Formats: sequence, C-alpha cells, structure tokens
Amino acid sequence: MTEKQKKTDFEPNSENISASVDPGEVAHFSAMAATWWDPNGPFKPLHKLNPTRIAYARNALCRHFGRDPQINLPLKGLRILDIGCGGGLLSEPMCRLGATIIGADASEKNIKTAQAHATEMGLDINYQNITAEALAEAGETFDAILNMEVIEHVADIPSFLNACHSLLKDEGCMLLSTLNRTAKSWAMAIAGAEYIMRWLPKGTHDWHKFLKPSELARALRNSRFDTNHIKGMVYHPLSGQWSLDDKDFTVNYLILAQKTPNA
Amino acid sequence: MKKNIPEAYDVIISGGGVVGMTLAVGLAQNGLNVALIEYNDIAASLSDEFDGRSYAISYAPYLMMQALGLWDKLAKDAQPINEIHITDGHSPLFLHFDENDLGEGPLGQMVEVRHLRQGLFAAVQEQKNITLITPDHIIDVKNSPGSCAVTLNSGRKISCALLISAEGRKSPLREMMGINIKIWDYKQIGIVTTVEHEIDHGGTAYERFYPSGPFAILPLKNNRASIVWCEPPERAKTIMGLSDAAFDAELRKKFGDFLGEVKHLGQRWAYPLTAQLADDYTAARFCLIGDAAHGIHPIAGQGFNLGLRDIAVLIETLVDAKRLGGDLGSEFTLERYVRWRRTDNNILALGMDGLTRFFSNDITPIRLARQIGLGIVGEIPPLKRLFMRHARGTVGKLPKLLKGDKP
Repeated sequence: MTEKQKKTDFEPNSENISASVDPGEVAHFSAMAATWWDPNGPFKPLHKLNPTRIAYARNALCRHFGRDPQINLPLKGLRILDIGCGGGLLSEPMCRLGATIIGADASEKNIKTAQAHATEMGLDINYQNITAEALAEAGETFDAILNMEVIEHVADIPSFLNACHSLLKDEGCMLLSTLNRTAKSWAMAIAGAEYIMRWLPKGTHDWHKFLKPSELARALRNSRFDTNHIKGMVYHPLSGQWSLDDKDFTVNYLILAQKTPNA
Repeated sequence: MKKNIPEAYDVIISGGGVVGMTLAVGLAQNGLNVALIEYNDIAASLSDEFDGRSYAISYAPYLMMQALGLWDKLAKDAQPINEIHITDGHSPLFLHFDENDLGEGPLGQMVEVRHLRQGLFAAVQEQKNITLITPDHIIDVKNSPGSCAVTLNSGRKISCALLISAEGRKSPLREMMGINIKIWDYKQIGIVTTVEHEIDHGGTAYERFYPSGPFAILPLKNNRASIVWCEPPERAKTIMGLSDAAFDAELRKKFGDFLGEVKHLGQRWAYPLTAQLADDYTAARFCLIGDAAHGIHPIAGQGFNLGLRDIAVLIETLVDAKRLGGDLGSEFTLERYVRWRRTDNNILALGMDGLTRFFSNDITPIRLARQIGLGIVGEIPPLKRLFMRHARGTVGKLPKLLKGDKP
C-alpha cells in the first residue's frame, strides 16, 4: 500500500493488483499509459472529444436512471460495462462519477495499459481482457453499457450486438458512438485526422467500416434494441472544441439504445 | 494499513489570504473537498482595528462575490464607486467615468481589508467541505503520477489531486516548484493610508497622474477615503518619517481642499511598487493563483480583481472537471485554466506598466499627448465604454461567476 494514494470519494484499489506482475512489464505499460493519457500525444483527438462524450454519457445515464448530474457521484451504484475501453479514457471519469466500472478490451496491451494508469490514479476499475461475447457467455449483466468508438472496429456486428443485448439488464441502456460514412467523415477522419494532422495512429479507422445511422439503427433493431435518441458531435476547428448537435450527424454521432420490451 | 493513507483532498490551497479564502469557499460550495493551509493563525490575525488598507472590487468580481453568497457579509461596510475622475496632475482636462455611461450600476466597490478578511473567514468556517489547517505550512511536496502528497511543518501528511499556491507575491511553493518570475521595479513607493474628510465624496474616485507618481483617492464609508500615493523612494521615505501633523500637511498639497479639511487615520503603509509575472502558472499537479502568479502596479486598483478573475476561471475549470469525472490536477485540466487566464493577466500587467511609465514623467510632448489623449478618450463614447468595461472586468470570454451565475 506504500505508493497508493487514496483520493476523495473513492477507495484505493489493492485487491486487483496481482502479486505476480513483472516490474519490467509494469514500467512498460506505465509508459504506454503516459502516452495514452498525454493530452497532446497521439490520442489528442480522443482527449479533445472526451469532455463532450462524457457529458453526454453522464447526462444520458442520469436522465435514464433519474439522477441529478450536478451532484457528486451521480452514477453511484450503477454497474457499467465500458466495452472496448482502450486506455481507460472513459472508464476512469465514469469511475470518479461513482459508477462500478468493468472495462473490457480485446487487446491485452490496452488492458494492461489501462490497469497501470488506474493503479497510478488510485481508481478501482475492473479491467478484463475479454470480448463482449465471452462476458455474455459468463452470464454477466450491467445497468449500462458504454459502446463508444468501438463498433467501427467490430468484425461481426450482429454477434457483438447480440452479446451486448444479453449483457444489458432489462431496464438498462446502452450508449453508442461512432463515425458516419460520409464524404465529410472521410475527409475529416481519414484525410484530416489521421494523415494530415497525424492525430491518431495510422489505420485506427477504416472508413469503409463506418456505419450510417440508419445502418446502425437497423443492426440494433435486429439485435432487439430500440433506438429513439440520436445526437451529432460537431468539431469546431478554430476553438479545437466539440459540441453536441441535434441535426448534424455527418461525422460523429451518438445513439441511445434500450432493450425492446418483450412483446 | 489504513494509517499509511494520507488524508486526501480534491485540492490543497496554500495561503489563507483573501484570494485563498475566496477560492476555498467557491470550490467547497461546488462539492470539492478542500484543505486550506495558512502559515499564520488566521483567527488570531483577524482584527477589528482599522489598519488603513482597502481593496477595490470591480463590477464583474462583485457579481461573483454575490453569486458565491459572500457579498451579504461585506455589503454593509462597502462603499460603491459611482464615478471615476482621471486627471493629469491638476490639469483641468480629465477623463470622467460614471455609472450612467454603462447603465450597469456602480463601477466598483471599496471594501476595507479587515472587513473582507472577517467576512471571508466566517464563510470558510461555515463550509463543511473545507478543512482549515492553521497555523501550519508545507515543507515538502512529492508527486506521484496520480496525486500530490505534501508534508506539513506539524508533521501532518495530506494529499490531493491539485496543489494551489495562493501565497502572494513571495510564494514559497512557487520557488519550491522551480518557477521563475520576472520583476519590474517602478522605483516608486506606494504610500497607503485612509483619510477622513469634511465633505461627502459622493462615491467618486479620483486618480491623478503626477510626474513623481500617481495619486488615488478611493471613497470609503462615512466620509473617509483610501489613499494610494506614489512617490520616488527617497521622497517616500521622508514623507513616511514625518509626524502626523506634518504628514497631513504634505497630504493636503496633493489632495487639495475640495472635500474640506483632510487628515489621515490609523496606520500608514509603504509598499515598494513592482510588477511581477511568473514564467509559468502551472507545474505537475500545481498551479499559481492571484499575486503568486502576477503582481501588477496598483495604479488602477486591479490587483485583487485579477486574483478574483483567476478564481472565477479556476473554479469553473475545476468544477467542470469534477462533474465530468476528470483528474483535477491533470495537464488537460490545468491547460484550460492557463489558456483562459494568461492572456488577460499579461495584457493588464503590461497595460498598467505602460500607463505608469506614460504618466510618470514630465517630458512636455508626452504630457501634452496624455492630456489630449484623456480628452479624446472621454469624447469618444465607444472607446470610453471599452476602457470602462476593462476597468470593470467585463471584457473577454467571461467565466460564469463573473456574470453573476453559478458554475
């Protein structure tokens, strides 16, 4: 417990740090975590985007579960799955807002990176190197699923969304965000964000895999989800800020999905 | 095992002066857990005795004090500034501002330091989210990637996400963090005291620019005014050494007799006039606020106001971060504070610097230029309004508190 710092509003995690962790490996993933979390590093676009999507997620969850988003720990008591959690850029804030977080990622490297950073921050987050399908098979269930910037990387979308369906409690909700397949998104996300600005590592996004909102909505319906809430996220190049938009879905958009009630 | 965990706070503020206390109250009201550390015993240092010092609080920071519920504690002792007269020495040409130019109420408020400190201390004590640690001070700071741990002189160990220095111009933490400052010496001394006068000042502030240095008369309650009287060091030393009667005689030469008989009350203070700017406002899990970051020439009464504007921005930045589950001490969070404040502070510091140099000389063309300049600014309403908005602090992208809204 020596270098662990207790932070306000949450307990330090000691239980989930394995005694068999190799210190050299920890140093490596600490360095990776520093890269992930550098606001001016390779994940700069995600850091820029983060406040907007966190505010969206917090407000959507508070609305869904009838809570006040302005209080401390508004998400306390909610068990949330952050699927495709990467370095933990969403998991950590959601944990600080009081949620019990399970961060899952198919990449072992990401999980170790996220774990290293959460340990440094004194945050108790349960990170697992596991797929949605495997979690579903294990019978896990959640009040909410964060499915952000993930679906564009998924190979078998129906299988993935079916797994999400069984992971979600009946009264729960799932938040998805992804990139639209439009000329503008091609220009911005591929030419703009990746190659010209060199913001995100090359190959992070394959434009052909992007889903139009109608395609995502159809895929969700096929997996027995209702979608009734869509928002765009718009980038303002001059200020470097993002904002939510009710009409412009041409690049980034967010969808709130709930389970279709059994007829 | 538990006893190895230091007490943890969202933020630790070092410095329980007017800036530190105001910041602590604002953060605590918005759900942040704050430790406030002050070197001197705050309660013991509060005095009812009048010490001659006052602050001007301009309009936007005054709205913030209202939004934070602090104004209730200050209102009864505060004197509104309804008009400002700026002149070049005793020249008849002057620049005149009054509240009707903007139609937004008083231009500012004068508050005595003792009332401000008492009011703020009462507010600090009402806040359950503030842990007041006084008298004590930080002797060691150790950062880990996720938090900042400090050791106090008493041996107490506490930690936080963000350590803030509100320690004033000579901030020891700023030095400990290796942040350098640049200092400009005006080779002037500011003599500060309070005077009593016969005739009602009507809430008018006077700023006169003399070649030897500016002279300001700032209205207080009950036919009194706060004086800021700038002179070259040698002359200031002589004036400070005068008997009370001789001091009052010198004072009348500068003050004039337009408010009738004048004499000073309480202590006289002498401050070497310097401006300073920190090279950086932040380090890892650390930031400067108020005079620790920037000290400016007191010519326009903007020093405390700049501190209050820092406070408004830092509160909004940290409260936003807290509500989004952010790391309060991260580079990402601190960048927003710095970007938002730095330009404003530098412009004002340089503006006050230029203004002082422009006025503190007696070269004829420059004197003519400034007399005409004051006349011209006064004749062009939009320019005048811009000047006034700067003085009132309502220029630029305002944080919510400076508009009187809650963050």
